[in-house]
Amino acid sequence: MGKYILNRVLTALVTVWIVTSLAWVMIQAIPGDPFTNEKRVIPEVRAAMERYYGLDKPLVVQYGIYMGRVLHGNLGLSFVYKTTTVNEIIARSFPVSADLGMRSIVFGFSVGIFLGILAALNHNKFWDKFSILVAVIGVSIPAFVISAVLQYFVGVKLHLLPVAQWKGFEYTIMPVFALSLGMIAQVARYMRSQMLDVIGQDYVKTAKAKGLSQIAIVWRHEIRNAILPVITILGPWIAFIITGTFVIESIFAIPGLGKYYVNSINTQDFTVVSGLTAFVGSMLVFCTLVVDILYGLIDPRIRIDGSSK
Amino acid sequence: MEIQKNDFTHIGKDLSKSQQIVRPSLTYWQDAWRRLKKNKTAITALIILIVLIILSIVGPYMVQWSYSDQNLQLTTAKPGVGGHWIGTDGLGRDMWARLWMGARISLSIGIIAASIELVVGTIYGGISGFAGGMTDNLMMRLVDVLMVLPELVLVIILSMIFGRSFLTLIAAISVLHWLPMARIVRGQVLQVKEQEFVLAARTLGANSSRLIMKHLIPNVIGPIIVRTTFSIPSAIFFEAFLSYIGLGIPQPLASWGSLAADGQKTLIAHPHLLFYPAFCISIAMLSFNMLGDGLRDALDPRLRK
Amino acid sequence: MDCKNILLDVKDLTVSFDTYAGEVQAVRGVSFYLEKGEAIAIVGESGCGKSVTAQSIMRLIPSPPSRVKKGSVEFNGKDLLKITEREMQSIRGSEIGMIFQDPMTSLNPTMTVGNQICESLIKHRGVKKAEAWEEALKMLKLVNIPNAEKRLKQYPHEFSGGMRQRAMIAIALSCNPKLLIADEPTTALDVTIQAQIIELMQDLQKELNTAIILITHDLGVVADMAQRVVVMYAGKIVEVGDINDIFYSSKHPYTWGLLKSVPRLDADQKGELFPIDGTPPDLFAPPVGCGFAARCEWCMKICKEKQPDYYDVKEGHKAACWLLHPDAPKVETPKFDGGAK
Repeated sequence: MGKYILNRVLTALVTVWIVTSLAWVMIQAIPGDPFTNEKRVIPEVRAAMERYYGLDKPLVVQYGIYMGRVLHGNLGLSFVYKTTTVNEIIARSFPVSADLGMRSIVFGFSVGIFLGILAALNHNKFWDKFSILVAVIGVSIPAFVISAVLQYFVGVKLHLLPVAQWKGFEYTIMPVFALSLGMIAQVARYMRSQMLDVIGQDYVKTAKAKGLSQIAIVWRHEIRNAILPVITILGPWIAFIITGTFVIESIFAIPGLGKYYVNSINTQDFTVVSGLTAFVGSMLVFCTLVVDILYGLIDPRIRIDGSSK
Repeated sequence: MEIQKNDFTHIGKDLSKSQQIVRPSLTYWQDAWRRLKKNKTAITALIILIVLIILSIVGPYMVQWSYSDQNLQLTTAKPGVGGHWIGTDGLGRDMWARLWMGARISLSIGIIAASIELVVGTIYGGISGFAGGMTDNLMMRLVDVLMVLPELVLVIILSMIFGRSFLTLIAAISVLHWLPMARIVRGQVLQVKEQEFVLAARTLGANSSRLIMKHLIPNVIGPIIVRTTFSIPSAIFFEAFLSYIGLGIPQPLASWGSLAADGQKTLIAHPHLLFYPAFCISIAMLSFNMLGDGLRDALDPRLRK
Repeated sequence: MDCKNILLDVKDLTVSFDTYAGEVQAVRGVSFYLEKGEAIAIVGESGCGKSVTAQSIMRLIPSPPSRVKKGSVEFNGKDLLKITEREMQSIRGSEIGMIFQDPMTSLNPTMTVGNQICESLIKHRGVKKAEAWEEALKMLKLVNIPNAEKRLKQYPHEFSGGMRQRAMIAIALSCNPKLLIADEPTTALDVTIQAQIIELMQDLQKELNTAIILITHDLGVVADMAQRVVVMYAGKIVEVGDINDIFYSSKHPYTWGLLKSVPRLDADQKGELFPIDGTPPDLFAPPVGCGFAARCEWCMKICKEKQPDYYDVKEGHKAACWLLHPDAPKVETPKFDGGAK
């Protein structure tokens, strides 16, 4: 078990390093120097900025300066909004994104699991067919299309829910729904097939032969075994949802990290893009790591002898 | 019924029935095709995709304007106005032409990215699986490390670095996309290698290339086909996603994703600008997924009836 | 047959499966009885309907696609086929226990063995967890698992195959049921472990006076454990008798085939093995006459046209074969030496 965690943590650290390095490469690779767009920069200011960014030093040293700064948590200054640091942007917008993200993940996962169980227990009947429909829609129709549909019909035509911004509970309903639908679809589908698999297993027959009630069998024997592998897709889905927030926030005008990210891409604010990329990338790796460790804790087969499937 | 004395005349064993072959035997491919044909959803999906492809080739020629002809007198026209079947966009360009031009771009990005993935992934995974031992270990280690990288983030970085163009889009999308394919192929190759019939064929004197052609490939190809069918919509989705964050195909070219992203901005006033490309994306992705499902079921040897 | 002593009385049990290829008649009118504390074996090839019969007694087969067309299963005065699911749940585990073939897959991988034993105790005896745990410990010791305290807290994947089967037995017997049904309990185990499990079952039977139905295709195991034997073929019982009747004076050609096909360690090295030629009939369309007719050396015209009745050979021994009809040619029970010198 310890070996499992160590392995995962090390891999995560390496990945974070790679991501932040790539983010740095990104800035270097942009043609021209940071001041190409600045037509009227006083030479003294320019020299000061050059020194700050170490642009007069060899690349390797620049890399070192960058990594040093990053390790101290300093992700640099915005190019476009000269007085804002990337850190400030993150501090302002990350909580909003985290809020949106967490709601979506919790909603997506629980509804997905629930739907999957319902479908498996009612194989070939209504709930099963319904869940297949949901699965098909959720997997095929991208979140931005769903957002558009929701915005148009629910928001504008029916005036049921607010179409933009993030000011209260009603504001969260459509974005969370749009963002989580894909997750609901895949989780439900996977949970359903796992449940169907488990229901046919011998140990379920043993449980039945013990005279246990249907509820006890479903809860202790079926769900417990079916859900384990489904948790493994939580990791990738968290990543998906985090990146999904970029688009959703733009569409719903939610002042989260994603919106600033898209904004900075559009305004060619390279340092911000780079800094946010490093941040988001690391976030992703971190979340996947946490899920992996959690899975290791829950599956007795890994917990006890450290073996993974 | 009365029992008579002659009922007890001796007859003995009659094993003719048990030697009968119950059904005509089909090859793997015949059986798979038969199963696929039965799957109405998959066949419908296939038909839809064929229609989309045909329209993407023929569509832009069906109207008199090209996808980039602007007409500033007739911007954001509703469908039907001025002869424009599905209206015009903010610069007065005909939406029908743009839609099918976009189809060309989206579909080809999808297919090309999937093809790259197919080739690179299959070769990499094939070599790794076939070689086995240390080589296999090392190659898979590399895959493991690369797989942890967040794909979308990397795609964004690459797009920023190399600018926006058709080629960089494809490159960016493919760079990590081939990893799952490599894993699948390697897994299949390993599985097949272990199977006894490979040993049997070897014993009968089959050399390596015959082994590969007749035994390895037919068994590995099933999952490859299925995965490719699923990676096309995935690539289309990626491209659309990139369009939404401003890293998509540059103007005046269009893809379904960029058309949708543009249309999104004026959703309330001019819904038709978003509707058509969004509809196309959804239908295409839906069809690829249904087809992929159908292929997966048809090619799964365990479901042979 | 002592009526007061009958624990289980199965009469004319008929079970079919509705598949989309048609109806499979898996069990076609099976009747037998079991006395308290008695051990019987049901033998037959794969597909003869023995597992379906056993699982139907416990009503473990999901009801579509299975369908009980006829028959009754009397247990302690109640017809198990007619009671409600709730009532059945209170009988399963507490009055009838069952163990299955594959110990690797028959235990829940995500629950400790101790908890799996406690589950029945808590449900049927209404005891609290602590008391159940004590009882579970006793059960593990009873089935000869060393280091029982430690083992209770472990998960099934930490047990070996033989130990898992012992654990299964512990679970099945935890509430001291009157009947234990063992569906091919040793088939998935090594020969040496097999012997241990059989011995364990024998000891437990004596100690707890549990009746046992042992389902198997292995005649060696039957000889050790059973007092009476039921031979099944193609969904029907073809012969019933006590252990000596079946092994030394059986009357049905199928039974002869089974006995002949058992290889003997003391056989002539160059002797052949004697499998039964042919394959069992298709249960989608069972034959009109005797199910074994096509493979039977002594098959007669009437065998193909009509199902044989049961003929009594002596008290407690009967067989369903036209050879036993007064008008049929007399055939002696062959000697079974399996090619021994």
